[in-house]
Amino acid sequence: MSTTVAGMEVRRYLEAVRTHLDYLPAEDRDELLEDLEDHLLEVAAENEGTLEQRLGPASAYAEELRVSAGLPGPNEGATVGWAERISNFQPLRKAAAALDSPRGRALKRFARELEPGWWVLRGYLGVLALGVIVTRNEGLLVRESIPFPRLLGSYFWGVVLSAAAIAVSVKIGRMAARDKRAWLLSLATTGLVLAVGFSVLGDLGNGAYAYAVTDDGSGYDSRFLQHADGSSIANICPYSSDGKLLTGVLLFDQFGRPITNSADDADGRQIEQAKPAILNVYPKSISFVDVQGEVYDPGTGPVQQKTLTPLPCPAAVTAGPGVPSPIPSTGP
Amino acid sequence: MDTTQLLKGILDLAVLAVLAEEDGYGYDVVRRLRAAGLEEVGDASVYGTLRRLFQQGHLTSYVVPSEEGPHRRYYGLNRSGRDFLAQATKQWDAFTEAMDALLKAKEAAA
Repeated sequence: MSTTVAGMEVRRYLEAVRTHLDYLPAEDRDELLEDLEDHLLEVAAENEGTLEQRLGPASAYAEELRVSAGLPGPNEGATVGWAERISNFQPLRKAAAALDSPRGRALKRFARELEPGWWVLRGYLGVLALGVIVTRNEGLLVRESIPFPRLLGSYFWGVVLSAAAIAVSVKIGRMAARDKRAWLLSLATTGLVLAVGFSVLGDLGNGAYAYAVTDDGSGYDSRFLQHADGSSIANICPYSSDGKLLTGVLLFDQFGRPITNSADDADGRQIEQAKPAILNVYPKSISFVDVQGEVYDPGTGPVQQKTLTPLPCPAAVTAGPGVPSPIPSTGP
Repeated sequence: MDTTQLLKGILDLAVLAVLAEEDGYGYDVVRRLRAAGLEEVGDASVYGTLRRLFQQGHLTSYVVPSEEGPHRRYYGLNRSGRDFLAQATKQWDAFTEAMDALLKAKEAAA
């Protein structure tokens, strides 16, 4: 810090400027004045009269500084609430500026028109997500809750709650246009609904609900290979054109994706597969599981004893298009 | 006509144009603007404008220490600043063209 006469004058001027800006949040003010001392020293070094003469009174200088820096005046800044703080957040401002371009404005108008539709959808999706979670926790099929959410044990409540949620969602949406807090509430609601929705979708995709989706009693299980008539394909037995069984064949689909989803049952009969290191290697070594009566275990009660019957590929077949493989004659 | 009012509206553009030539520190920008003919440009306005453009992400900044004088904070345009300048230049061109046409039409009528 300079101790020269000019330095002292600069510090006096700077202090006066700082005092005039003491209504600003300390952070904003310090940031604004960070380099001002160095700047004023530079001005003072020109040696043409006092700073007051060259720059005008400190109060006017302070005001000009604040206005050009885009900071709020003493009364504008008095009520800087959290809503204002968020709307002053720079990335948000930039996004707002982008939306203010002609293309952005057209996009906004279009979005405005779609908005009420989204409010309705948001209310419904919120209850739907809730319905899926509740239904699943009750051990019922998730399908039971789609598209009509099942809540408190009945569709009646699901529909009533959906209607109520839609009404609330629309109300929040309409208030949001007028009130900043309601706008934030609306944003939070949308975020919550999307978060819950995506997490449910994610769980569905991960198979957490799989038993409910697939084990619906129809015998239809889209996860596994099956014939057009719905009977499952538990194994694939490739033969060469001269009727020899090929082993260790790797199967891929048209995109090079390995085919690994052979069925885990043979038309309702439970099977066990030796788990190979490579999942798309065929034929698989599979066995029927047969339950051979009950054995009583004093610790855990009745246990089922399993025996396995190997299920080999059929004996040599005649090659040719459309020649069906004979049904294996093995079994108990 | 009070040129300080006119200047306020175009100071962003003027400051960016000066920095597009070469990086500069606060007082250097003031001097260059004055040398370019904008003699009434306010010292505080330039300083405040630099801080704001920096806050808005249009400028980069670095401090150059100096042996004898005060430290100098240099400012330069970053990509966002160059984009902003290009856009503002376009607006300025359209504006001056419209004003020129307007003033010429008035002259012709007189």
